[in-house]
Parts: sequence; structure tokens; C-alpha cells
Amino acid sequence: MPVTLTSLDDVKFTVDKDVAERSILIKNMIEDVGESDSPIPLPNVSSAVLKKVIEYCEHHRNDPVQVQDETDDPRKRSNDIEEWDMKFMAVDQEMLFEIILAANYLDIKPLLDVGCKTVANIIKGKTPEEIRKTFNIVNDFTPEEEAQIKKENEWAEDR
Amino acid sequence: MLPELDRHIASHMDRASLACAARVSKLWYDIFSPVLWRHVSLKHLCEDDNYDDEFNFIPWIPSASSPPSLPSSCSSTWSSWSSSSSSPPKSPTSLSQGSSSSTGITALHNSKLSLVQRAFVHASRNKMLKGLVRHGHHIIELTATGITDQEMAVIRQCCTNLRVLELIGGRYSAENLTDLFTMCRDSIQTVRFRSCVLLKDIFQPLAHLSNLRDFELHGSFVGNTITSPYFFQQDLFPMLRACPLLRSVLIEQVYIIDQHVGQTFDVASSQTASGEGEGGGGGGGGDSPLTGSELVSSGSTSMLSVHLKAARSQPYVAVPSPSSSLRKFSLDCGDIPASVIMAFLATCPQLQELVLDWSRELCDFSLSQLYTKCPRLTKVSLSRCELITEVGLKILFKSYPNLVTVDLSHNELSDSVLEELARSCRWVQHLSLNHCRNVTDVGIQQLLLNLGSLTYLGLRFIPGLSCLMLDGFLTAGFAPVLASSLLAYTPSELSTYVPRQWACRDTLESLLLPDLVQPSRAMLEQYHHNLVMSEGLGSVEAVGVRESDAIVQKGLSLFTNLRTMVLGGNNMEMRVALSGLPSAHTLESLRITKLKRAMTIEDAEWLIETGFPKLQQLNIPQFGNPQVPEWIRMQQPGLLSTDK
Repeated sequence: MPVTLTSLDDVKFTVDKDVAERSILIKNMIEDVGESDSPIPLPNVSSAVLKKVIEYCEHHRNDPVQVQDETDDPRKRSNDIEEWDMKFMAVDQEMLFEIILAANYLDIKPLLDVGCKTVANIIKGKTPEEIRKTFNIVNDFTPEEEAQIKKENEWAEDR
Repeated sequence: MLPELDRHIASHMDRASLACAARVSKLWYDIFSPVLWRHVSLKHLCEDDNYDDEFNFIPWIPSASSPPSLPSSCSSTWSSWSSSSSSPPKSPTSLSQGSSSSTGITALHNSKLSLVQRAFVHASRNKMLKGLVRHGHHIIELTATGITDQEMAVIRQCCTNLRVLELIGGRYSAENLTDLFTMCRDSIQTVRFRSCVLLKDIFQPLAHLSNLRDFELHGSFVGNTITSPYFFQQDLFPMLRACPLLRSVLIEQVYIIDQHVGQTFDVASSQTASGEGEGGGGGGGGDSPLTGSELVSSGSTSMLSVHLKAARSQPYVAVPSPSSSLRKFSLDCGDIPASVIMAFLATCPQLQELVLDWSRELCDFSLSQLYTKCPRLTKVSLSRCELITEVGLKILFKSYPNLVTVDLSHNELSDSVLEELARSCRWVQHLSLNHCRNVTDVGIQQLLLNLGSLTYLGLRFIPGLSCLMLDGFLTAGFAPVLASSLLAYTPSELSTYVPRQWACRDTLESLLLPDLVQPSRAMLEQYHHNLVMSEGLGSVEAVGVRESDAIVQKGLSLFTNLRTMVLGGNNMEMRVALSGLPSAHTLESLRITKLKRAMTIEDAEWLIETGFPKLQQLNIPQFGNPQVPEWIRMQQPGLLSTDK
């Protein structure tokens, strides 16, 4: 049974139920409200982003449901991203963050993970100056402060 | 720029990235620095490593005007934690200061350190230690290597939110541990001691940790308190009582230092009391004294008899302890009397995972009692248990039909034990029989035929296994070897007992089978007997070399899902034995231990290009054509691994 979703800018998307239920938020909504034809409003997501998110959900509609891993241990996680996901995430920065936000709001854990991994990979291997350039961040440290922090965390940098 | 998802992103970053990110801006510093300091390895520095006089962590004061409403879930969590636990009740440092209240916290931590400690930190050349002053409250997991008492004191004052503490090397006494543990009594959930030089009275302090869930004592030298026969009663039981959440205890490879004599014993255990044949009296419920006491008179334990004699004058009386909720218990038993172990187990009805390796005392009777104490076991390891015979193991298997993991390495088994296992415990997934003696192809084949959930089968260093274990004919029909044991079965059992397919053909992922030899004469005779019986063909002649490879190939080709394989034999021709396997596309790790002849480059090429394209790890025999490893390294860097 198809489900209709309405974006922030009032664009309607009709998708299959199993696709929509990749989002735990929507899944819970459907369970709460029961089967109905009225569209589900998603006032936090723009149509451009929602389109992207639906594309992701459709591609991953048959994935097994992720088991929530209790360990929040960064060392055990891999930063590997599937090829399709990699291409999917090849978008401009603004869109990337919009997608992450939407994934968070809609509660789509795998998409959230992929998005965060993508950002982590962007940061990885860059010097602080390069990171600032990439994300357009102003350096508000004084040179002394920056030197201090560099020393403070030196142990982590040389491996 | 970064929304409330910073922690998510940070969790995907490695340390170097985190350290770089922390240098980007003040906001980023507040976000990433705590994550960076979550898990820390503190090492005691002996050498002077580029010491920096100017470096002292104090001068930089973060701007008070850090983003007022940081929506970050994690940053605010951090700050609320740190301020709630590290500040005195009416401290000005409170939640209102937001996520970057580091100044206040720094000051606070400073004030908690005594003057001497401050001077010590100041003079210390260990940047990590200095970092604790500022970041200690972020630390969740601390791995401390060889630290001194003074450093320990700093840790105690600074790391107020410690959850996992791992101490490697070094000496720790009851006093400094008590101080630390009372300080962090609510936060610490895991304590691990590894390779510590000397531990004295460590169990009393542990009783302070009301939230302890995991305890590990591994590879350490322990002062003689732990070696007293009262260890269970005075240390372990009180610890269990004091730590109601304790789920897992592991004690292994612990060495005892007898301080009076100044001699080290490697009993691979944590216990000295020795008594033999007392199982009958001790199984009852724990209020029996250490009775029978024939001393085990092997060289390494003779010294321990001193303790035992002292112990005998004061009879061991176990206080009835409340049952604990321990789920996992692991102990290298050595000479601990079975009665003590059983009395302990009687207090752990919830136990699911039990490791009692290296026992010189556990006997068949103990195993027969086990079910009455711990009915929920699913994982059992009893490797190197000298006194256990097939009788006890059979009882064990009969009483626990739901075993999932079984480790019987280094034991004397028999084929009938394996048959019992195959019949009783159909759900076994992980089975390790490495170094077992008195096991033949017939027993192994029973396992393959009957265990439908098996994923891991370890058969390393079992002498005498041959290719015939992989040929179903071996146990077909009424083979003479089987006849005696089969007589006991009812006919209906029999009919289900001889399916001719490997039950685990789709589940088995790891097969370790490094030492195939030529089949023994008895096996051959039985094999040919079966061949003649069932198909009326064949004459009794030795199974030729090529034929044995074909058998291996045929046997292996029945497994569809192998991922790890160790294989080898003095007469094996690799390209015959390994060709055309259905698991060619799943196999990720292959170790070849020996072959009939040295590998050539063509062999290697076949192996990685045609044979197993998905291979990620490969070991080949070390002595052979030196060009082969070179060639493989050229072709696929990283594929060839040399570690054992």
C-alpha cells in the first residue's frame, strides 16, 4: 500500500509503505494512526532533500534491519561506505548536512551513519587549516592558544 | 555549521582526525576534544621524550562567549556530567555555563589535587598526565600502563567519570586501589588487570565498586593472598555480594609469588589448596571442609603444600552466600579443589558461560553435578582437564542438550565421546578439539554428519586424522568399530543416525584441519569393508595419493559457506584437493600448512586468481620456493600474512 508524504514546501511524494517505513519515525506514525489515506506531513524536510532520502530508502528497501550495536566504540567501526552510498553522498556540503539532519529527524539510522561517515571522511587526513577552508570556519584561536592545543593533543596525532 | 550530530560524526573519526578537528576553532575544540579524551592510554614515561618546558595546559582560557545555545546533545551531556560529578554542590561552575566551562573545571580539578600532587604534575614530563588535569573528567576508558602510585593519585583525582579501567604492568596494592575505587565507586563498570608485576589484596578494594560488571585478571603476578585457600570465601564471594551487577569474571594465567620463599610458581592458576578425590564430599553445597588431601606432587606444586597444611588446621567453611547474577565465569583452575569450585558455582545459578581450564582436580563427578548448580550453561570450556574422562563428558553432553560452544582442547577423548556429542548437542556452533588425543576419523565424521549448526570446527594438532574423515563411506552401515556403541541404540535412533550428508554443510564457516596424514591400516580396512558392503566394488588396496586428494576435494566440496580454512598434509597435491570448491567465492582466509611438494608460481597464480578470488588472507608453508611469497606480495600486497 502506498503512503503519501508531504514536504516542508508542500510537495507530495507517494512511495511504497515498506520504503517509507525505513524511517522509524514514519513507521511509528503509521502504527499509531493506523492505515489511512491522508498524507503524512514532514514539516522539517524540504522537497529536494526528501527526494534524496526517498531515493536512498528505495535502494535499500530490502536491507535487513540493522541491529543496534551497543558499543559506541569508534575503533571497532569501519569507515567503509558502499559504492552506491558513496555516489549517493556525492553532493554539495549543504545538501549533505540537510540529508544528515533529515535522517536524524526521520530516524533512518543507516542513512545517518553513512552521512556521518561521509563527513568524517572529509575531515580525515586534513590539517586544521584545510578543514577550516573546507567548512568555511573562522579560526578564533590566538596563535598561542592554537599552539597550546596542538601540544595538548599531540599524543593523538603521531601514531 | 555542525548541528546536533557532532557526536555521531566524531564517533566515526580516528584519533588523528579528532586531534586535528579540535584545533580548528573554539567550537570544534569543545566538540571534539572530549571525544578524543574519552579513551586514553596513559603510559608511565621513563625516557625523556621531547620535554617542553612551556607546556602546562593552564594558560589558555577559553572565551566565555562560546556559542550560547549549542544544540549539541553530546556537548551538553558532557558538561552536565562533568559539572554534576566534579563540582561541589554550590560551585559557580554549573550547567548554566554551557559546554565550555573548561576553565572552571580546570580550576576545580586543580583545587582537588594536593599541593604536592600539583607539583608532581607540574614537574612531570608526561603530557598525557598533564592533560588529565584538564580533560580527566571526559575520560571514560583508561588504559594505564606501568603507572606509579603518584600517577595513580592524579588519575584518582582527575578521572571522575571513569567507566573502564585497564591496568597493564606495574604494581598495585590494596591502598592505592582502595583510594581510586572509592573515588570512582559509582562510575567504574569494568576493571581489567593485565600482566601486572605485583598485585596485593586487590579484591577488597574491588568491593567498593557497586557498579562493577566485568572483572578480568589476566597474566599477572599475584601476591600470596589470592593464593590462600580462602580465596573464594574471603575474596570472591564478598566481591560478588558487593557487586550485584557483576556479570563476568575472568581469571587466567595468573602466577603466584610466594613472598616468604621468594620463588615463583607457574601453576597457571590462582589457587594453592590441593586436594584429590574429594569431589564426593564437596559437591554437596559448600559446607564441607577440604577433606581428602593427597598432595599433587608435581614439581611446581610441591611448595604449595605449605599453604595446604596450614589450611587444614582451620577447616574451610563456606558461608551460605546469596546467589549472584554472574553470567560468565572464567578461571584457570590449576589445583583448586573441585569442591571449592562446585561450591562457588552453586551460588551462580544464572551462569551461561563457564571456562574451567587447566584443572588438575575437576573429575567426572564434578561434571555430573554441574547441571544441578548451573542449569543454563550454553558455553563450556574444559581444556586441559586431566582427570575428566569420557564418562564425565558424556554426562555433560546429555545434561546440556543446548550447548552452543564447546572447547575440549588438550584432552583425552574418544570417538564415543564425539558420538555422544553429535547425538545430544545438536545445536553446537563452535567446537574446538585442538590437541585432543584418541580421536579418529570416525568420530570427527559423526560430528560433520550430525551437527547441523556447526560454524567452527577446530581440529588442529590431532594426530592421525586422514582424508577418510571426509568420505561418508567411512561410517556407512555397520562398521566394525562402531558396532559396539551402536548396539545400545534402538533401531529408530539408528535410522536417523546415518544420514549421508554433512549436516553442517551450509553453516560451517571455519575448518581447521592442518595435519592430514595417510589413513591408518585399521581405518583403511574399515573403509574398504564399507565400500564392499554397500556397493560391492573395490578391492583392498592402499588408497593412492591422488585418490586421497580426490577424497579431500569431494569432502570439502560439500561445504558451501567456508570462510576460513586451514588445511595441509604431507601428501597433498594442492591443485587437486582445492579445485572446484563451492566455497571458492566465500573463502576469505586460507592457511596451507604443508603440501607434498613446494608451491610454484603457477600454483600461487592458480590459487589467487582462479581458485579463491575473494581471499583476503593467505598463509603458505614457509620453507619452499622463496620466489612464491615474493610473487604473491607483488600481485596482491597485504594478502600474504606471516603471523601464526
